[in-house]
Amino acid sequence: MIVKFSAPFFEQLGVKKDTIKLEEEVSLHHLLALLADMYPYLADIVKADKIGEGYRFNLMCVKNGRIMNLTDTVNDDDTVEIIPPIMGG
Amino acid sequence: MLGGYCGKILRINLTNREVKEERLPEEYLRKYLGGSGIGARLLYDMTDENTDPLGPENPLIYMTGPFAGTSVPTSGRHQIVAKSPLTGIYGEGDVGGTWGAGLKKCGYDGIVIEGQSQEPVYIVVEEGKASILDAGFLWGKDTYEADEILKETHGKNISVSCIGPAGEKLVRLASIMHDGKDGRAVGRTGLGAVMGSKKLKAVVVSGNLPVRVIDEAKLKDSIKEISPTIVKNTNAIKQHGTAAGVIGTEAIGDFPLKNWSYATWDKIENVSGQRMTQTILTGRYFCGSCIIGCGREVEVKEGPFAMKGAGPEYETIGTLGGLCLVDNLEAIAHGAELCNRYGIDTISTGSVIGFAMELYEKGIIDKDDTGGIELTWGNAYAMVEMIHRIGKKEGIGDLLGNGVREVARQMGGRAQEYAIHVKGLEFPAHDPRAFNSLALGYATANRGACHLQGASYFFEKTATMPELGIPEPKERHRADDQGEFQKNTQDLMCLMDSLKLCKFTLYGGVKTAHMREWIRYVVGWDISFEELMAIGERIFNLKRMYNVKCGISRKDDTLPPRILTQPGKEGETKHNLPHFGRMLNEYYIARGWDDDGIPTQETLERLGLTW
Repeated sequence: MIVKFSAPFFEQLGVKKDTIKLEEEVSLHHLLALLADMYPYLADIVKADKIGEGYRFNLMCVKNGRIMNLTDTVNDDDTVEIIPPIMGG
Repeated sequence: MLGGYCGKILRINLTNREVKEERLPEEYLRKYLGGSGIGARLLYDMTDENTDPLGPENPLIYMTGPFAGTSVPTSGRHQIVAKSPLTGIYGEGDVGGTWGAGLKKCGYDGIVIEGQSQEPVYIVVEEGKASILDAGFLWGKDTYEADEILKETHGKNISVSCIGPAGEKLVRLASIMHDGKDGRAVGRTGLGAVMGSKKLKAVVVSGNLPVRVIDEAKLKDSIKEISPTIVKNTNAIKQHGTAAGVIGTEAIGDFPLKNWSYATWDKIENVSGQRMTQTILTGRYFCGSCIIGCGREVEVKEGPFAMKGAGPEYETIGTLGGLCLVDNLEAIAHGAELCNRYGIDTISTGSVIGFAMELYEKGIIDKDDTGGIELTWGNAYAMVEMIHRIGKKEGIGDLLGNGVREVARQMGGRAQEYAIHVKGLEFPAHDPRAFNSLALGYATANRGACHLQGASYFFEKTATMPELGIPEPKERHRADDQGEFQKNTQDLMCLMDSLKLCKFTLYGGVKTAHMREWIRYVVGWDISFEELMAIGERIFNLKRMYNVKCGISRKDDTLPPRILTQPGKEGETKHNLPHFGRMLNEYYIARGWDDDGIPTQETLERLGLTW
């Protein structure tokens, strides 16, 4: 699967997108845990909340236009975009 | 004796200079709570469809909530209510800062200002009294200058609510500003022009009376328990301001671009809150009793856009930036400061400039109309110059200051196609094609297109409210469930606008149970969830009935054709609204309104709105 990182994440991570091989369908919760292992910067963000539903206050994951819940699933054909939290205004 | 409330308001008549106190009975307080609720009831009783918004019979109503002056998080807010000169219907604005708590500490829950003065005046409210003073020395000053002069005159511990030159000149986009360079605005619906029509430059509050709290210890415990969650969940806003969401909103098709025409923007990072933090941020600002701190202090040290003061909020970046395709953050900050100083709403101002840019592109207006300015997309200098002209009511600014609906009406023809508003109020900076619920919310909000009178999209991205059937954020593109959902969130926002709580506390995990607790500990009332929601529903319907008096019905509960028929963002989030008429029908049923959008007699009786 493909994970895209919007600003300001790509500025911190040094990549705009990454490919992760998924052998089976996994939850967003699982995907975030994988990303936290791969990127210390993201680990600081998502593990601070222990990847609970409060994850949306730190970042958001979007798949096919849908803002994802932690129980939503992804598979190897999917693209997920990681964006800053949408608050304010 | 109740806590929280003073139980009285001031009535000040500027025509005959009469100042008197008026009691607010407990039954009245419990029925409408404060802020928006009491303001709406007073306006309903005092005006009707024949009232000239700029005439002496239109009151300017300032109202606080029961928590103002206490330690309840974000409770230092107030509401200003009047018939709108921009829309001709119900008008109001909610604002933070320090003024609301300041009024309460003078011993008053609110002020109703009636009549019109012949000469410029300002009002000073102190502990248990009020005076009407000559404002000749303030007239013509911008809002930052007026605040400074009044603090030199009356001391630094005052709070100032005032208009700038635009309000004085009756520009229909005029705002009422608070706290000087902190730039807290009652921006929407043109209430600065109502204040200007009264020749009222400012209302100063200066008091230090204690606000009675029924159970201080329990209140303290309750606040202590929720505060860490509020602080944690709103950290992004504290770090980067309301503009923290700029990048994310563009990514999901929510950020407004090029007068709401189809577009994505590769310049979005240039105007983000994160970029602001990296470049021009100098400090952060907290309203009274606030633990969130969304306010920005910024400085552009040199160049054509030099400024120092309140930084642009998300909405301002969306309108002065996105709608005009201006990606220069310094220019947007400068434009925001100009809007604050002149006293004009950044949302409506950016919207009408973006609209004018489209008229220019389409050849409907040209350089002869603009006074030689090339009003092209992305032209930061033109955007700034248009703000000057609107604020001064000069040249084309005289026309643009009437808002997009009136400009389109005067232009006629194809200009109507590009005018993006509901009931005469320009859209805020969120695209209803990105959140279906916003479409219904904009179409039915009582003050015209507004994201905060329903704030339903809060519950489609981060916020939850299990007691309203929202245990987790809802999917934003769903077609079902919209009627009841919108009704519930609108009723909830009426509560928050009446209790005077900042809506960002919803991100922070504040639920109706907290509101009930705080009412119990501050005021002393035990209010059930059902009673609380019924109050919100009553207030929403009261405002609707005011608008019905003004001729509003189903024909007005709609969106511009561009929004209803053109798709949103390309790519993964490409999306059209579901059948709008169906959503509206479901909404009317949930509300207990007839097919034409009029509350039924049964609904009004159930809510205690027959008298």
